[in-house]
Amino acid sequence: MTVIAEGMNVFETNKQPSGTVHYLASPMDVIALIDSGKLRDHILLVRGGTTTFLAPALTMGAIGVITMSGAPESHLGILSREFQTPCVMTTYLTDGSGSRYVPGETGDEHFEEIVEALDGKNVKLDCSDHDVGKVVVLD
Amino acid sequence: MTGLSAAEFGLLNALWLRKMATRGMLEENADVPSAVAEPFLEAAADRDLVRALGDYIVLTDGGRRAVLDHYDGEYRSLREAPEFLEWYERFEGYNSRFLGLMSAWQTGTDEAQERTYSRLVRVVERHVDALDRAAGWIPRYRHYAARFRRSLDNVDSGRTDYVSSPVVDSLHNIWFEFHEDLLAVLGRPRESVED
Amino acid sequence: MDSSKLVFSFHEADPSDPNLYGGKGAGLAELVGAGYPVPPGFIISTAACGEFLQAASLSEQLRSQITDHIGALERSTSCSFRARTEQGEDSGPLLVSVRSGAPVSMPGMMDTILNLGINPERAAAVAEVSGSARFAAEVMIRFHRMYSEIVLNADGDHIADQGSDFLTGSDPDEADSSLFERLWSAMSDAEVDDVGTAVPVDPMDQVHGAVAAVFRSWNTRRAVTYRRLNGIPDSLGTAVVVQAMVFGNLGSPSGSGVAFTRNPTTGAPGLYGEYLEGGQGEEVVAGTKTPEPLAEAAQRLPSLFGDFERMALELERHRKDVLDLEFTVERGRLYLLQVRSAKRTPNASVRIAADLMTEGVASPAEALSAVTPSQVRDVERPRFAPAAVADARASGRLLVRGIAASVGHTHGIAVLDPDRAEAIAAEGENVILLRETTSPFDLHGMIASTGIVTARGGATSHAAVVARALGRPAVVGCSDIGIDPGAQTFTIGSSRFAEGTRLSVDGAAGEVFEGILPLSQPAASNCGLSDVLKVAREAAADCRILGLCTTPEQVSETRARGADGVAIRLIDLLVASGAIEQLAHELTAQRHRDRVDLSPLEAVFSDLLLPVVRAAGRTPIVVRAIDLIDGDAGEFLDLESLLVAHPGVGLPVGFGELIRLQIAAVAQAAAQNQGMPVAYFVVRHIADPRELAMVKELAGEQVSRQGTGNVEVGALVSTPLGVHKAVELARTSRVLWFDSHRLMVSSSGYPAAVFTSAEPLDEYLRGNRLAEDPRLGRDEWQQRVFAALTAVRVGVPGCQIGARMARSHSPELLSAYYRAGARIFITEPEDLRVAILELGKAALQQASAGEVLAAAPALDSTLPLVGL
Repeated sequence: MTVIAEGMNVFETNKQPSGTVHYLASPMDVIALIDSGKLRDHILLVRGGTTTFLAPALTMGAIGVITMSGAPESHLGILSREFQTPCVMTTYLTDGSGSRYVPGETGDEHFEEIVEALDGKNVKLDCSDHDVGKVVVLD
Repeated sequence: MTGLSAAEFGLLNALWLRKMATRGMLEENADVPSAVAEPFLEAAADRDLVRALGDYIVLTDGGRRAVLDHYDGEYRSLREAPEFLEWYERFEGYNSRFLGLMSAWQTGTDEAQERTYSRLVRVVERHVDALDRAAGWIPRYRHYAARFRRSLDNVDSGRTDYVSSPVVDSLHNIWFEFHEDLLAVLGRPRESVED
Repeated sequence: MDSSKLVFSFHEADPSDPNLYGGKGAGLAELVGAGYPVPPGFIISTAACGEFLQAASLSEQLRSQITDHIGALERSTSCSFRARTEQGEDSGPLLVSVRSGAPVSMPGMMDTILNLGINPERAAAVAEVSGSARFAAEVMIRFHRMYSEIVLNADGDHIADQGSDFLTGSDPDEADSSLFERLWSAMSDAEVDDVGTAVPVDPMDQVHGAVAAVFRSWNTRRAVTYRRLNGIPDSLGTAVVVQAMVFGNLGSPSGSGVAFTRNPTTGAPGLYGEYLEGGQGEEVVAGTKTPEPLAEAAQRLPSLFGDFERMALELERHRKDVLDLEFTVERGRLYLLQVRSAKRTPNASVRIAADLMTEGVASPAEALSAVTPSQVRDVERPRFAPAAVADARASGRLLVRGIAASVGHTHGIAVLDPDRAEAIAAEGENVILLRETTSPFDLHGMIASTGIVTARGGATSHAAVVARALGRPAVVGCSDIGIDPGAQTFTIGSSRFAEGTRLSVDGAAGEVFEGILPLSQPAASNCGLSDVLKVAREAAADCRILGLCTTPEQVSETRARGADGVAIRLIDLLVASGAIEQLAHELTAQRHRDRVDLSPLEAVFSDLLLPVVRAAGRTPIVVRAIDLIDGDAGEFLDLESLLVAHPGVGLPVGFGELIRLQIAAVAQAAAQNQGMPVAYFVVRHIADPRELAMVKELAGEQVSRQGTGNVEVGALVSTPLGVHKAVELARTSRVLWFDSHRLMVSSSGYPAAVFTSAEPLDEYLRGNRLAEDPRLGRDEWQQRVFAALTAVRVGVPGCQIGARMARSHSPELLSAYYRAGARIFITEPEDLRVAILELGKAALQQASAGEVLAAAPALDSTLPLVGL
């Protein structure tokens, strides 16, 4: 049970959704995932904090979301509270290069590093703390 | 792909703003009768602009391009207008305030709700006034103002789900759609970029 | 009183006149009058509000009265808006708050602006008095935040941010004397930038601006909507309270707190609250800082909090209510800022009412009026925990909405087949029977289940009728549900679920959730409830309250809730047992006969009645005759062919054999239950004494045939015609019954289904399309019904009046029937305790009003009632 990444927790919850991290790069990725019927098997990973194209996934019952930028006071944050979908935002790797997201100054390599580290991993979200949400590796 | 009629753009744009909707929702949001909407949406599906997802309809990449092309054609000159850009700057101020208050509403204690909502109403009302001003540039923005007023009435009548619930035409839903709309007008649609 | 006087000191105002001084103002006047420590101040009356709204500006007269009272405030506090007093001496800074205070509290009103009186010049004085320039700067920023937002309609947070940014990096206590000028300008500039105007520098202008803003807020859209929905007149207007500021964050010992005179969650006696040392009141309320329990603070400052506790409890006895007090300590001096009735949980409310009565603080009438019907329902009924419902809703586990067909909350595993439902329930599982529709073949499965959900059908469908008869929560007509019996799965939208999925059913809201929502335990341990109901029962000792039952279990449950007797609808017994099929079969088989003979069914009917009758023991029983045409039977019979075969069924007593059959069955059951004194048998729609006479004759024959089993026959008035003939009917009746629900339906002509769920009419009333809610018994037609009751009471003293109340009837309607003279009431089992409470209230009210209410209400002379 190792914490692999941390970020801002959108809301406190005892839910601990787990699944394979699935990186979504575009609206069509979201639709393809919903189409596959496997939406509930995955923790969704996206770049943006206001990534509005995630709305359909939340509506269709996504179980957990990780973003690499953005703040809990955003459209996505508000929606995830409404749907009670655990959500960790502006997530960074606890054991990576130490790169942190800074609005307007962050290059692609920051995001690529996180995707590389998380995509396909079997993880659990721990959102029981008021401020910090944790991504825990299972297996 | 250009040459969408006002009704057609209305339908596809409603879909762009909502991201996912049933036909009934689209007709209502775009204020287009079924007799127009049904054949158009069927044709749009044939042309691969939209597709079904369960009980819902979503835009395809092509559909998204069609909508954004229409925005580009319609609003290119507005993107250079200093007054409009100034108006937009002010909206961004309201927007961060709105999102903060909305989050406070969702997480606040019962005691704090009344005050949070009062402040939220002030922001929305100020924005509704601003929308009336912006209707000189973009007449369809009056429709957002009307939707806001209707939802405010609903909340005032005790239906608090009209503040933030995603399943009704809540203040947050309308705001969210408006924000998407405005960014597309400015030529800065959010697709997959961060933030 | 001098009508030109618009502004009053707390001493001058009359605490008993909230219409003129507002709720807040009257409350403060009361505290000051009784000698409690309150920061000094004055009230601008609601009359000034009316004047302002008409003229759209503050009159000269009002301005000058405000100036006078500010002058008085300056003298009593030895502080001033100006740097020098009239005598030319340096003066301390006067800071005030401005609050709205309407006669009724309502949302949408401007609430509070603090720290008026601050400006660059006075800030220096605040810094001097407090010994802290930072404190003065914070007072200024706070003032700008509130004033700019509320009065100027600017973005107050943004303005305050400009102020805070200005202070960043510098220590105000080290800065030179121009600091306050520069801080003020930074915020003024931002205001001009935002809304084109800035906060006024002159304290008097600040007060005027704030007062005008309070008055304007009377007409905000929210306030107007709220008044419309709650029937509050627009002409009322709001008062304004202006009060000297006290600071819990100034000097030591200082602080602020909130206290309740009893625990608002459990109702347990004893002062309960929190105190924030060195903090302001809003910080306690908003929860931005963590306060300490009052008891801990009291250990440090025993004399101060000793005084406070004494005051709080004294106030509670005086107001006869649990209070919520806000207070501030400024340098060792205690001030009460706000005293109001405390919000409380239903459990606490009931316990507190009982305790106040036992302690002799409140009279029985006062204690009963402090308890609402919804609180009683909350306390007695197991229901889903609200937090669990909110969570389920938010997390998308609300699967489907349908028609709320039978109230109650329950959960269990979904089963799609009645045989399996019976088998699984036999293993001890809670089962939710989920069917496309139900038919008599499903009956055993319905009996075995704890809840019922169907995909098709309305509020009078088989499933709905049987569920109500069985007392099972049910949601019907969930058209989004698709059922695949072969695969033993069901779908909702695009999601598929297997049999065995756990569901929770809310039969009151018509909602079905995925998963088990925990049920809150009924607070049987709430001893307060039985105390309160005992008092209500004693007050309404001349009333008899009967619970509607179908099963022996319901009889004991109903009696446990305080019922004096039992009412039975024969149709419920037939549908709950499936015997309706036998009746339908007989009626079809005998369609060509000249003389229909239903005697083969006598034993069947009496066997159905007997268990319930036995369970009722010696208590009175009322049995309502079957109404094949109008009611729940329609679902089970082919009405059209029935009317062709037996045209008489369309008339109240037009199908004598059916009436005879029922009376015979009642008489047999009564005969077998030795102890029972009498069974009442009532027939709906009867409007003519001849109809009643015919039923009486049948009853006489049947009773003499049995040799025993006393059956008393009555009419259930359910039509306008019956209302007109009420007195005539009463002359030959021991009890005349009124069907309150049916009378409502027949007057409006709306289908009965409109009244079975709250939503359509609520929505209609919200849309402002009816002046009166027909469910409250206020409209002219219902006044005529009540006049008929009164005429019976006055004109036919030997006849008692009974009223049948529909499920979830409004308490107001029940009291109206009581006031008109009804003394026997039939309610659904779940409405019994509420009915007892409301009858107690009505009885005490009538007693205190003396003979005045006992007189008949005035009749509408334009439409005289026949038979009066």
